[in-house]
Amino acid sequence: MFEKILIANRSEIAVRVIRACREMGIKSVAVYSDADRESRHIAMADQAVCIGPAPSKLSYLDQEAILTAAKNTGADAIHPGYGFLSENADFAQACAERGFTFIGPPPEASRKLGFKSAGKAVALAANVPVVPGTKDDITTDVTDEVAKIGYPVLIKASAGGGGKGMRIVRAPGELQAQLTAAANEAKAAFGDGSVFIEKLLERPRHVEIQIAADKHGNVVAFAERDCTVQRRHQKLVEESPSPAITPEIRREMQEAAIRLAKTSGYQNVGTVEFLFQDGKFYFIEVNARLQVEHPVTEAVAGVDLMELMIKIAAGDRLPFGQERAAEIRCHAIEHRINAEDPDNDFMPCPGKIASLELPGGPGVRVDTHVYEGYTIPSYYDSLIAKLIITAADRASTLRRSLRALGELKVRGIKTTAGMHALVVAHPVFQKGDFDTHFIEKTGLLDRKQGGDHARP
Amino acid sequence: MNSEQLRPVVDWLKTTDLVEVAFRKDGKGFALSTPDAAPRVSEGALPPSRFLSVASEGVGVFQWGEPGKARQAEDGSSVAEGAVLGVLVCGAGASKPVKAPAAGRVAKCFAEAGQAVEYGQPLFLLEPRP
Repeated sequence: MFEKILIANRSEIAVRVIRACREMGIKSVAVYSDADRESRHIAMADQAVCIGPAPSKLSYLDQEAILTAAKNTGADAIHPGYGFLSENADFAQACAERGFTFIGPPPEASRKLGFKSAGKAVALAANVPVVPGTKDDITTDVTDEVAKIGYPVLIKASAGGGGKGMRIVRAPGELQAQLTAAANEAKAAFGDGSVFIEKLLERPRHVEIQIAADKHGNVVAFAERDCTVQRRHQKLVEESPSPAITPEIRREMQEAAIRLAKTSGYQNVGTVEFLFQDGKFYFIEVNARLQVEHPVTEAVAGVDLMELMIKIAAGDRLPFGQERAAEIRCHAIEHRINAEDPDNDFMPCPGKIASLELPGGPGVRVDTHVYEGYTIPSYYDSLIAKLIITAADRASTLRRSLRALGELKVRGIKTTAGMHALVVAHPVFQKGDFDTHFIEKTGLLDRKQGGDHARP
Repeated sequence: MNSEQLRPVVDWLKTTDLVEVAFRKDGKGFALSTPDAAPRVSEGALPPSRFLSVASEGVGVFQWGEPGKARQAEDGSSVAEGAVLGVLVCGAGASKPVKAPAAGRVAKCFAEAGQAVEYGQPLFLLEPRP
């Protein structure tokens, strides 16, 4: 086992890694930027090294500064957390070359799965369903092919991004005209007129499978996390198990995720993301890291994923098999509390936390790096705390969520806590029958919220 | 506030390792710096420091110079602007010079050869030549 781990990250995830280190008897080294001198992770770690000025590029993304700090402090492993360098295969490789164990997937696995297109190729090779579509550059008549995919379909620019060149086609008669228009738009926007077609999923849920793979070829998959409630592709609420997934589908998804991991030689923890609609699931991408929402799975399966990933990196075998990993011991839901202004288009609102009351009691876990009097810097992500709520079933978990959200009192800055209460209390959410457009369709965030959470 | 009133502070400063003391209360303040410890009394803002702190611009190991090069800076040595006071060696072995931001006297060297240093850590205190 490692003797000293350097945590190349900040905020609540740095605190999470330090806690695991302490429990495992491993010394921890925090790194921080000039803007993070007050962060709780610095005081909690055994050692701390200032690695640069506030901008991430000059601190948390400065590979040389981090590797030098690891050398200076005598760390033998580096934990990247999420974001920053966590999915940077070059960094993982640099760690190995300089004699540090990177606590995460090996660089080859991240390279194979890190990009959407690369991940899709691996999925196809592993016989994992992907969103049906044509090849990347349509040059011939695809009328028959599209009929087989089934309408409605989406035309996308191969060079794409930002919705440019995207068109929805609902009937065969519109196909040719729309293809020409999309190609012209793509040519104008990207200088490349190549387009492709994908089946349009109009009411998808976002469902993902947590996997863990040791260095000895063993892979397990946990129960799914449902991250369907999103705002502009940002996950807001994550829960497990999903109210929409049957035991049969769950098993199929777990088997698909395991096939994918085995085919790609994946190691350590990771998440296979799927879209789910009409009883079918489609692979989107692999997140080759421990995710923000990992505590949901920790609660449901009754495992410590942080400890597990450190043990796997140290060469340990998985301590349990698939049957144990797939256990569902309770229902869990995570609320991401961000320092954002819900009444001003969720603009980040950094500042000083004048007073703070955190929720507690049965089934409430709070992961955070902030405290009363802490000033949230403006340079980084606005996540300030995660509430992870657990209870025996979904209905009691939602009631407990509302109770805990009500107990959370943050003054001095605005947060998204009130918005979470609106989501949980909404009848459509309560019923469990919703898709990724839930927030827009319900118009939940269109009205002013005010309320206790927003009072300065 | 005058020199006479500050006499005990001056005497105390000489018994310490400190090179400068500054104090302000109710809009009045003073600053004392070694070696002469001549008090500079001010109204309003704190008197500006006589010293420039030369801080580490990164994470690394401090050395007095590139291997084979003689040590340039010691307490009291006079240096030109841009003079190399030491070097910072990063983990991969690349080194970056630590340069004097102005011409003057080296009042204090904080780092020792082979010492691990972090970003922003003071390495030298420089008293610029007026």
